[in-house]
Amino acid sequence: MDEEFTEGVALEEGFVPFPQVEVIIEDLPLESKHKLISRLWREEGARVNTIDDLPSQHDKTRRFHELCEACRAGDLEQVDNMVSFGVDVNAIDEFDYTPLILASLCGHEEVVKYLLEHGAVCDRDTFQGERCLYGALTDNIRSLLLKFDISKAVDAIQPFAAHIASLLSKIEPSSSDVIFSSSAKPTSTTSTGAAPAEPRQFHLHRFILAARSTYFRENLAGRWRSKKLVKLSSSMDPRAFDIVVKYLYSIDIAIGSMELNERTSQVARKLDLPDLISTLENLKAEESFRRKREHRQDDMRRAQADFEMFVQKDVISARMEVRKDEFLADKERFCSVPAESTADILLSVEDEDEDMIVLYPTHRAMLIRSEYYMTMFTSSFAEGAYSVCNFEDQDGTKRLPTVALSASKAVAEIILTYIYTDRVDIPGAIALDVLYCADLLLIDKLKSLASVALTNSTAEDGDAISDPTVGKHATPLYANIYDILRSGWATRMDRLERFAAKYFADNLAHFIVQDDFADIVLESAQRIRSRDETDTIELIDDIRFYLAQKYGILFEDDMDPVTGKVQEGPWRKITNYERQYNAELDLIDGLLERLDLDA
Amino acid sequence: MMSSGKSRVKMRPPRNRDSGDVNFDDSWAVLSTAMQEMYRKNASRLSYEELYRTAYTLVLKKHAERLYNSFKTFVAQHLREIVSTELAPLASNTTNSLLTSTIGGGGVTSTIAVPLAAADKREGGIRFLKAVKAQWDDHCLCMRMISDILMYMDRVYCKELQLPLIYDAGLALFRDHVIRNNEFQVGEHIYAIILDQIQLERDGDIVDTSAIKATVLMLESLTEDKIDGETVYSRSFEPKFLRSSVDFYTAETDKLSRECDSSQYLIKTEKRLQEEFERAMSYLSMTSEPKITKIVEENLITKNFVSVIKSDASGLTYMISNDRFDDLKRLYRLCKRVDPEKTDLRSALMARIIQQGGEINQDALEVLKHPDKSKGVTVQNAATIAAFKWVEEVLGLKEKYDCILNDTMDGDNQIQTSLTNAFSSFINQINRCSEFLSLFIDDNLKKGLKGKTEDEAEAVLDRAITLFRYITDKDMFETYYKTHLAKRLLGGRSISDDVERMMITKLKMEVGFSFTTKLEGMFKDMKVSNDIMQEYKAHVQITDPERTIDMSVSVLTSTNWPVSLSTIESHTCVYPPEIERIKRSFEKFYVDRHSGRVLTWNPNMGNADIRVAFRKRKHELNVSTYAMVILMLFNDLADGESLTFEEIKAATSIPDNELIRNLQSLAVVPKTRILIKQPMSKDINVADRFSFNLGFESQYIRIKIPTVAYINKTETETERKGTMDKVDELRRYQTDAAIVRIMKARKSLEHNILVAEVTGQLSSHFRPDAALIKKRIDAMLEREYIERSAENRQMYHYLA
Repeated sequence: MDEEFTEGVALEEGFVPFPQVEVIIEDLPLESKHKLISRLWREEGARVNTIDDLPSQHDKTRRFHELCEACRAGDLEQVDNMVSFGVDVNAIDEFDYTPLILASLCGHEEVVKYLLEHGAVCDRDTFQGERCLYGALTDNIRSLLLKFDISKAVDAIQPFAAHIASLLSKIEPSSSDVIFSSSAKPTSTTSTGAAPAEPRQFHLHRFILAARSTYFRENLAGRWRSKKLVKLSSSMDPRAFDIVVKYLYSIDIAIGSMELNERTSQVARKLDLPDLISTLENLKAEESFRRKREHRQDDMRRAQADFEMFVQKDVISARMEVRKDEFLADKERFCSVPAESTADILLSVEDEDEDMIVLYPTHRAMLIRSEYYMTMFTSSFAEGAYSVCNFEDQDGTKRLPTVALSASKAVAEIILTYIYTDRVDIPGAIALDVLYCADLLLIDKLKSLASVALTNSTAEDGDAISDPTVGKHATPLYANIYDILRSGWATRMDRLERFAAKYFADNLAHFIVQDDFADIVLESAQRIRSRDETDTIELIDDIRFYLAQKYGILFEDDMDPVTGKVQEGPWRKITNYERQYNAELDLIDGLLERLDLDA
Repeated sequence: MMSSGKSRVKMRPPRNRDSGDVNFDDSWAVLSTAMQEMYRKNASRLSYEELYRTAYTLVLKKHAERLYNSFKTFVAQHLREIVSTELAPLASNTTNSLLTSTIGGGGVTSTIAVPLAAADKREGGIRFLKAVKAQWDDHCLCMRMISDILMYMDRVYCKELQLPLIYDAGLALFRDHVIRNNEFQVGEHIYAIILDQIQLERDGDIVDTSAIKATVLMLESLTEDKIDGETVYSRSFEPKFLRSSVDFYTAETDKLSRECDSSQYLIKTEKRLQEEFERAMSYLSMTSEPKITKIVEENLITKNFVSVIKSDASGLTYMISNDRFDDLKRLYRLCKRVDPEKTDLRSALMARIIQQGGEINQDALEVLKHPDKSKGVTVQNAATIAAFKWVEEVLGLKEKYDCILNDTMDGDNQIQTSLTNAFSSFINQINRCSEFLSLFIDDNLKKGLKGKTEDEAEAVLDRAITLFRYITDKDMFETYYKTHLAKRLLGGRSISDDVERMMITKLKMEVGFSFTTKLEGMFKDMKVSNDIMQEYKAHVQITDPERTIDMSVSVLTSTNWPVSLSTIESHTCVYPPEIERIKRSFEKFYVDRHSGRVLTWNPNMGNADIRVAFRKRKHELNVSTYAMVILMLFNDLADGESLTFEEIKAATSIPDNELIRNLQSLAVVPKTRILIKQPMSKDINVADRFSFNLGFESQYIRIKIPTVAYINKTETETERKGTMDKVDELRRYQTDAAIVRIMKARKSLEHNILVAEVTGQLSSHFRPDAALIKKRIDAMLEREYIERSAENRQMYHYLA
């Protein structure tokens, strides 16, 4: 006992994490060992990479770094946040580590599973894949890696692509606003060709066609402007057109007959879809699964990019701003859009600062990605009756129904961008507003994006303010810390609760004397009471946890089971840090006593 | 885009959020008005966006609890209003009397209890169901809409506090304030109406099932709080339904058993089962189906089935005797429903078979005891006839029941087992079964199968084998079969070797190789004897070409043949010198070839052809070997001289009984009276004198003189006893062998286990009885094959 104890003290007081190590190669500093190894790996990798045709990109962004850190630490939530931001899960860091390798090396099974499900690749036939398997900490992880079927992996952009694809078959609410119909039989040039395809009707969406193809965009605005039904020329093979439609709706295209592929290429040329042509070319070539997957991802990314363009140009930039009093006086007048617009509903937000009403021409087919809108448009209420309207008024405009959204212009644009593309950068300054709005609209993913944005402040961002009265090195904030905590409670974002608790713990001396702090502790206590669970106060527990972390108190054995303090005893000498830790715990206890709380 | 937002947004408290509270009452006014509009079907005029936002704000401002409770109060009040204004008046006009009549009658709805305007009231009942259903549909629709509006509360408040979601809470309110309204029990009315409709349908009327179905669906979607998987249907309605069904079917059982014969009863029972099944499937719940089926089964089948089966006039016996196959099928189907073991049916069948079998046994014994003398049937013949009759009747019975089993009971295994047991039981009841069967086969192989094709012969043998399977004492059969076979072989009476072999093959397939080795050995002996005789004849031609006497010998392996042939050393006989000479010559011939073998002569099985010169002409007589020896004595006598019994006995040393039999056949039987006996009487006495009957006359040149006792068909009582003794002895040996085999393998065994194992080993040959085994164990102890354990008296050890 005694010997162990003395050693322990020596290590803690000296604060030397590693005893002095004889450096064998004098010229090389210690860190460069990693570099050496990584260079070796890279050379090895390069050799193997001759088969491994597409080496992943070295990603130097901060978010990728954070993803890698989270994978090391096993912080599933942070991993989720970063992947939600669209960070490439197959990128590599400076040591050629992929997030998947890190997670499996550090033994975080949940994270490994999450990464695999979100498109991380572990392909045995590649150097990286083999390395990942070799490094896996446990057998469970190894078998997880081995059994995971790459073909089932869900891509980060999958939810977006899946939604677009689903629109092709969705019946409720009906949102198709144009029908293409193939009237005649296909021109079957060869006798061996498949049986002539049936005449078909394609129920499509103008805005998707316009977003994906310039050809369609121009024609929909031009000769097909007010048409409900467009007849395809008799030379168009409906099967080829079907493939084109599938491509536009971001649906994976299967290999058809050579002849059909050829004909589809012709159609693609006619419709000016160079990417489809190359996709078809790729289909022809016998490719590895990995390559196919990458092509598919490229296709989806292109679709995403198209929608990014579209939402900027046709939704956000096409907004109409009306003075509020004018709008209220004659709503009818303003609720219309140019006839060539593809929109079928107007989203109105009120800009309080300038007393303006902003109207965005949007599409129900996209808004229903929010469950709130889905319910709205399928309900028996007034909004449920809104239907597709293609008829233009005499003045070259068409009337659209309006739905109001209680949000600022900036927030609305963030929401719209997210709904149309799955991808958005949320400025920290409005992250709190976005969070509430996403909560209202029941878009969970956007909520986590917003809370990540809210808590990932950097000093460079002018919107994030660090309060010098709080502390010298206080983290800059985008909002009042009390608001952040309350929003965490209101929107059930644990991340924000923990963030606030950590912030309080880091600056406890400043907050412990504030009345606002006392109020929020009371509020936390009441939250628990109403839930009728145990009588701990969640906020206080969290703060204590972060205090322990702050002072490096890691071992529960050291703590008094009742007070949580580090105990001093004959065999245990207390350190400076521990003394400070105990002092801060005393502060909290003092506060609780004043508030007459028991925790 | 970001830049446009950024410049204007400064750090500030988020808008509209913590500044100021909302007024709950105002917001609730908006929501409750909207809900009223929804109930009025005016939802399409309402703005979802506004209502959702109102509810959202209330929840965000921590008014969720108030909102939730207000919603419940509102809906509850609305529902109670509907009950008192819409449903109660409708019900009081139409169904109140129905309700009181059913409730008053303890749940039994009887058509008589409903007053005159019954038809009207019933229509009213259906109208009431439809009215409730309409309210239910409206309510569901409104709950769907309200839960759309309160979606945020569902997500945040209800989920966290684990309260029922709005929609479910709405359904629970319908349950509590409509179905179980404490002022006007809508539920009770509904149940009474449905039960009344079911009663109508059971009585043969046609009812509006769609209205009932819709109502049942409603009751099924109303779940009970706190009890998983329970619904209003299963908690409130179903018990009432089952109770009334029990009452109905108790009465129905009484009625049917009073009014119907068994056949009708079965038909009606099946019809009721089908009806209830269809009812449960078409407009009640599938979950009720097993329960109601069980009630019908318990009442109509379980409680009353024994009397249906046993009914004298129309029960099982009647059905079987009159080939009522459809009824039997029904009986089987229904029986199987309630009792997978089919105990009642099986025991009834067994009892019937044993009864019929017993009659067959009785008949056979009657024939045996009182042979029909008028047709010249001797005692021995009577036995054969009885055996034939018995075998044929048993087989006939067996075929009938096989037919019933396969045509009406799907060849059910358990029933087959019962049939087998029943047959086995009555067949083994008659202790002469083995003998009867062996006789049956013997007769067929000697006469019956003459001129039949192979297939026909096989069919007959197969039938015999079927019977053979039922016989427990197979060793007994073996003994008889061996005796009969020996006689057939030695007497050359078998019609065909092929058929004999076919029979043995079949036996082999039934009980295995060991059972037939000896039988096969007998065939082999016969063949070998033929070969030996040919060799011997060739040998004689060379060594003794002058010989005038032909001799044919069958050399038999003593162990293969029936015990009676081999063990009797008293078959002594002094042969005439000329015969003695060739006998010796054969013995020498045989022993030269097979040294070390001992030949024992069995003159009692042999016969001889002799030429006798009578006064009128010469006749060729075929006599037994003994008779030949006796007759040869008279060669040396002058005409008219006589020999006494004693003298004959002294000269020939033939055993008394054989001598008596042979003298009887030579001197007593009128047609073949070669010797004249003094005095003329039927019995042979020691003092009798015999002389040659020179004046014997016959129209035939060749005369067969049968030995009296050799017309042996069935055994006489003494023979039977002898056979039994021999069988018993064999059984003792087999038991000993089994004990030693088992103990050698197991070294130590407890008494009970040993007995069980021995029984197991022997049961393919006969049914060993415990006393025998115990006796043999004692014998084995005595002979020190095994010893008792010192510690445990029940334990035996094997002694090597």
